[in-house]
Amino acid sequence: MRLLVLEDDQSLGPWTEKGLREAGHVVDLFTDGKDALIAAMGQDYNVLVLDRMVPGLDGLSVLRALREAKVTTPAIFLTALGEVDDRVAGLRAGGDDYLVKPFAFSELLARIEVLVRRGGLSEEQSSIVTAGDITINLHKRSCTRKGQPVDLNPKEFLLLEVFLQSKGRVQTRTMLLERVWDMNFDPTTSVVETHISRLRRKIEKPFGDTVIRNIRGTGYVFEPAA
Amino acid sequence: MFLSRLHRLLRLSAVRQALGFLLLFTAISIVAWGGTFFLVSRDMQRTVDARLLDRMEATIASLDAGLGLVVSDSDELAGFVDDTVREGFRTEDIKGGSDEVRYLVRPTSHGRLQLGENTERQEELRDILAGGMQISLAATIFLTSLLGLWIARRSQDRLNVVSSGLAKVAQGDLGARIALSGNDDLSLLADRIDGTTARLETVVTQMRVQSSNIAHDLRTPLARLRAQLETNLLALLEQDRPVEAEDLESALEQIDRLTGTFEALLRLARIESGAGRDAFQTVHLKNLVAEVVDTYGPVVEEAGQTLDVAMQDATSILSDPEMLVQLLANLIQNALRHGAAQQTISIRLHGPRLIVTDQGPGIPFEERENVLQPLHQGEATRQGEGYGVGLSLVRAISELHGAELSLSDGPNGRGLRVTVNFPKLTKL
Repeated sequence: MRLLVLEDDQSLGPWTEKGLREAGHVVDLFTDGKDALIAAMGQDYNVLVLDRMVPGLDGLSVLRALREAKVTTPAIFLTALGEVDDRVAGLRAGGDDYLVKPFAFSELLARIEVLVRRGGLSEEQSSIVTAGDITINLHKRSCTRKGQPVDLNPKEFLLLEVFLQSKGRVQTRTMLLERVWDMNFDPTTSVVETHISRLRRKIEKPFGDTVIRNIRGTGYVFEPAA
Repeated sequence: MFLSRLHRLLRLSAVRQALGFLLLFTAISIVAWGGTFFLVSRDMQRTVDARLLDRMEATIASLDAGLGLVVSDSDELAGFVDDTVREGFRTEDIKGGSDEVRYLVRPTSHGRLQLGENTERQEELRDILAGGMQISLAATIFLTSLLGLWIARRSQDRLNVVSSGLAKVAQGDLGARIALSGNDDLSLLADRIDGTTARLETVVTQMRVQSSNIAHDLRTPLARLRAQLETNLLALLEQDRPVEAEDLESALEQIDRLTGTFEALLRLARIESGAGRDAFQTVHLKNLVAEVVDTYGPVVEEAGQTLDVAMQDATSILSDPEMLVQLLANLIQNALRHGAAQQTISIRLHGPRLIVTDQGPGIPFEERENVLQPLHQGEATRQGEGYGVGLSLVRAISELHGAELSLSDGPNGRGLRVTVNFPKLTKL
């Protein structure tokens, strides 16, 4: 994938660039907002990674200009800790996601992948979602595996739904908190871990295999048997 | 030099006031005496004129009777004048003297008759009046200036006390107080300023304590982190033992925890600044509690504890739902962390009142105020984990919602009971 990274920090920029390259992406790193804007207007990128505070033109203005020019490339903002309200401002300017510094690299990678898929998949949602031998019905809120009904409580169902829709992609703890619990703060207790272990007890244990894999220090990935 | 001094003096409001009074009293004095002077002299002239008219009639009658001109008084003058003298009343100074004469000229069958009257006495009276006026004016100006200066001096002194007190505060001495004696509006103002300074002093002291708590709370994990990384670096350099992924993972975890503390502190600051109140909406407490219980029920269960929830007459309140979730989540987390093993955490909702009770050691009375401050290191908590930012977030969120927050003992004096009483939703 082709990514544009706008980040003026001397070490964070190259570090991000290197990490994304190693993950198999083509990366253009910019340290000036104007240069990034010109590049994003002229070339096709899959995802834009924009820092809020950069010289020349800040990330917010860059994206606003792009959206006005009908450039719909998905964008993710990187914001410094101090600017909690940035989230709203960033989404209003046309951003698709945001990430607060300091962030885990795996978190950035996972979110970039979500953005790319979201762009390609474009809401072809039906009420029945199937992955491997697991099927959920979004209307009836019911779940079956190998034809056997699995009884899930509302949060477990939502969790499974998120996993099914992001098959094979890493879901970080914070991503799950946002999507399943609508929590934008970090509950210091093991909310995510607990619910996942309960879901596993119902969806894996009776069938004697593993569909949700734990990726240490990052999150979880849903990998149903083909 | 003198001008600049004068200019400085004129800037003092008391001096300005005194000057204003001086002008006002002088004007009143001038108007009063001038008016009297005018009225008295007009009246005196009218009397003289009436006498002259009477005499004119009598003289004409006497001339007609062939008796000639009669003068009965040394002040009185009578005679015939030629046509050049104008008819009617006129006033004339007598040559060489200060005396004044009032004349009346009338044509008669005997010729142009002129009668006169020396007005020396009226003149004297007028002089006395004018003298009195001057003395009074001088006295007014003198006394008003004196009084003005005294008042100006007095209020300036009081103002100086206020101003020097404020200067001390501005220089950073928040313990300074104005303490102005007296019982007037100025001392009232000084009292208000003192009250404000006292509040400021408390807040600043609190902030200092908080910053040092924060520094302390962050320094310890930073030191641990540093030691850990250093050990691993040494191991890597000297190759005396393999560096495990776990070592680095634990370092990352610690960084995440530090970041979390930072984030919570920023969130706290944001809530305390009153931001977010404009995002308030009507939230049904029952739904919200049920949602949080859905999330935390399994967590409490996994910890080998029980969550006991009862709701009665649950109402709606005006709130930011995300903050409310955080409030309840923090209360449950606090109960989990500081409660007893295998305890029952109870959540009660009566109308707009939310009560969370644990069965832990509780918090001693004198510590209750303190644990609501971020990263407070209490005697009771020094061994274990501190209270972190959780309860202070609860306090800040309660304050933002105008809710009453109180900490008390649980039933039978055991455990901690946290009560958050939200204001009832008033229908518009």
